Amino acid sequence: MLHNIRVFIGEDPSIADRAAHPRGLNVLFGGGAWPQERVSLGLLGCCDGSADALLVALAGQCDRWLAELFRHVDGFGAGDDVLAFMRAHRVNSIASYVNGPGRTVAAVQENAALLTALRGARGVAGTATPGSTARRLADSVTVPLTPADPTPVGWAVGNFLHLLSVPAAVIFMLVFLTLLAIWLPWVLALVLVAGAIKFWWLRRIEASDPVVIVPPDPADIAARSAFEDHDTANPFTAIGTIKPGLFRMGLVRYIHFVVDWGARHLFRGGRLGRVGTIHFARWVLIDGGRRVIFASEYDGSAEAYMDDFINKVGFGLNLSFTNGIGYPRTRWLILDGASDEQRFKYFMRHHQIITQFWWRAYPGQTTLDLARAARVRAGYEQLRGGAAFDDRRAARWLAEIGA
Amino acid sequence: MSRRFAPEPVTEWEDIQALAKSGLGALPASCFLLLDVGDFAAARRALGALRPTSVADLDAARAGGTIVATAIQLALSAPGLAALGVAPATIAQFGPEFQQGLGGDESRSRRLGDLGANAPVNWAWGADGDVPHLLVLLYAMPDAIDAHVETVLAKLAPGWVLRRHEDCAPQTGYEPFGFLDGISQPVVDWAGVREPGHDARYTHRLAAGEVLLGYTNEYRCLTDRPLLDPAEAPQLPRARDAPGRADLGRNGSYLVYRRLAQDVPLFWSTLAAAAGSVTGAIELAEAMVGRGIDGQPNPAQGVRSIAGGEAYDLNGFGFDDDAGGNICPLGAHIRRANPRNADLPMVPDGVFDKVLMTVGLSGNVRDDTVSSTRFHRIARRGRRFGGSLSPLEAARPDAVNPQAGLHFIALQASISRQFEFVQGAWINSAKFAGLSGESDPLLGNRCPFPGAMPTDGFSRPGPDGGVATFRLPQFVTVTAGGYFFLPGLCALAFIAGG
Repeated sequence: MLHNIRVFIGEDPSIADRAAHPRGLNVLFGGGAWPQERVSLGLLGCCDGSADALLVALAGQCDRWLAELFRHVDGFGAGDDVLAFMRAHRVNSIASYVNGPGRTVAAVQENAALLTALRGARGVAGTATPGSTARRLADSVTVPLTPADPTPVGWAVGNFLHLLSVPAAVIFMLVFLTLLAIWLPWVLALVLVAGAIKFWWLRRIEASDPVVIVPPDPADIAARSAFEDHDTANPFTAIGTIKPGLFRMGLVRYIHFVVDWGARHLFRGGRLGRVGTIHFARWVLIDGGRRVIFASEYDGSAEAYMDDFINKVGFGLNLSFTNGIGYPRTRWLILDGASDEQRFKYFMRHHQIITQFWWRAYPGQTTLDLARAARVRAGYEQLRGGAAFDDRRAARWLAEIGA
Repeated sequence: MSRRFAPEPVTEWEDIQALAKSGLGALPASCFLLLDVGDFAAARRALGALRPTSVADLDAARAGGTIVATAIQLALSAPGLAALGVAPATIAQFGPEFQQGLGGDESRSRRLGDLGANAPVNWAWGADGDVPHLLVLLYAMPDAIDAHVETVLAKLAPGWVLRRHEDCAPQTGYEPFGFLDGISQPVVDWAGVREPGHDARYTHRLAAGEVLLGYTNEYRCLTDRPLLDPAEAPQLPRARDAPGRADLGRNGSYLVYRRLAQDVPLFWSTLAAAAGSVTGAIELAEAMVGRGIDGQPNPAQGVRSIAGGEAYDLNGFGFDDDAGGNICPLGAHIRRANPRNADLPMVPDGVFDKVLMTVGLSGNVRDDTVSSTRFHRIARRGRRFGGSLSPLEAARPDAVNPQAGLHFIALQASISRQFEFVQGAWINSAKFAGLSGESDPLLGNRCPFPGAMPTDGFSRPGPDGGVATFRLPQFVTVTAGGYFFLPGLCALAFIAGG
């Protein structure tokens, strides 16, 4: 059930940047001096099914290992219950993305076994037509495949309501404004003025927020790289402080609700924006919303990952990271920012923390490998179910199996 | 102050080393020297007295109807800069990968595929702690090269210690396996007339700031480089993005050098065994490279004119209509080295379509697998070495290895975004373009990936949907290499203490 799991010490390399961005004096509005933050230990896993079931499984199978880990954490004493401790410290993400929703670890492993069996049985290409080769191959290979579990009804309903949330909010706003225009035009005028002030304020802070540029020390890059490129995929974990003030506090929540909504409902085809290399991505608020942890798992090297970010989803990253202290200057939340390539890369490396422990269930498999294996399985199941493939379709299926 | 700059024309040709603009093909003979600082003061004097050939020198000779008789180019490694007395705070402003060096970090070697036989520990020079200070590239006509080398060595003798002599073979235009080489090069926008990022389709054109430091790059930014207090370096030009600072990088470039030994008999005998004949071997090799042995693209690729290229030259093609690799295999060398992608996978149909495409609500995963090419181009200036052997001779069982190969030389403004990206994410990646278990059919190290996954495959889709798969041994071995800084002439004078 576990796709991947990581453990990291959230020692924030960018904590000193707070000096560049003092908070307002009004304590009621999230002001006052920056508090001293504690260093957190992060344990983050991506799993099939419910998160609580994962905690139960973890506590059941590796309680001694976890107890040894938690021994170094405040509030965990010898003999304490690992499961209760994890439940008490669970933090939900404010936004998350999954490359292959519904693609379980069990399915991934079965697909891989099927692919290996098909490759092994394929043998030397004969003179037969693709259609008959595919038929012969599917009939000669028998691999037990478990049908996917049905989607829980409660989850499906919740997901549907979640899908409706953003359109409903937009429609509600439009209806509300229209009704205002009809019945209380002067209130509408006030609302519009308030909106304009908000936008003016946004542009003002965007133009004046401090940009913190810390070109990374080659030794720091080397320390991070030492943990990278041991597999086709890499973990990325970063931490940073959100810009102070009520305005940002609200903005961060709205933006990540929309990011989460988009990642869940719009980007279901194996790409987040145009980036197809991300297996999982997650945004988590910690320390009462003062800091955010961004964690992802991606194919390829860190440099290629950052290039993909800049060239393909710069707008999306700007939307999220522009709320972080020191981020390269943006306009209207989505423009510029990441396209200042080097400063963006400095920012990413400056906030990156080493993922000391990381494990994934299917090393060496990229998102494209996983999707391909799933397509091969779908074709196999259709052939086994008696479907007839014409030569073109059979050739495509055979080509995906490879040799 | 805005961080974005419109392109400007490059005019300071007398300050730019010739290699930035030209491969010096008119001088077919060459020799590369690697030296270390022996005596600090004498080394600085000798270096300061040596004037590299500039682009202006080439142009002046051409205007006079001749060519320069000899050329000399100078490049320094990070340890070389330190040995010449450049302040550590200045060196720290160079790119981190330049400071670490090609062979100086295990993680880098892992990323670039410098593992197994390619590992820096096996190199003739360039491993960690064994980085030469100065790379001298000498060019002349074949009958004059020896004298040129002698003259330059004599000038450098006080102060410099010769570490190694890298001989080159006279240039024929063909690399040792027999293929026409150096065909695809970026067409640098020296005149500063192209706005980067406005090309709907793949173009050969490239911002000058991708090759030279101190100019606008493809992001319309200036790549970071050492900027100094003008009081310390009054002779240096001012930085465009920081007018109060002296620009040590301007008109300079990073030079990546890799010595690639090519096993010519192994290459042709392996392919002849796989294909059954030498003719078949050539046909297979052409599929692996992605071009004919004479450089011609596959005719089925179709011909189209590409911005920056001459009409109907050997580069007048793209891969847009060959997404499945049925004409040019996805893993072919020229596709890995230059996938010819634009920023968006297709030319959008109006603004709405462009927005949908940009945010990823139209299009598909496959078309987005390989990133935009314009951020990952390099100017190649390599030279071959060793003897030559035709495919027919090389495929014989008693063929004698001509000990041939390529001095791979690439110029760029960002080593990590250009050379290292091309080498790591494209050439060496087992997962390039959605493939699995392959690496560059010519250059791959074939080292299995962790988890015992093979990388020695090469798959060749046929037009009918079938795929032929081959297992390849390692044909090319990295035997030395390093990262160097090819400074502008003013910057060189500053470094030499003049």
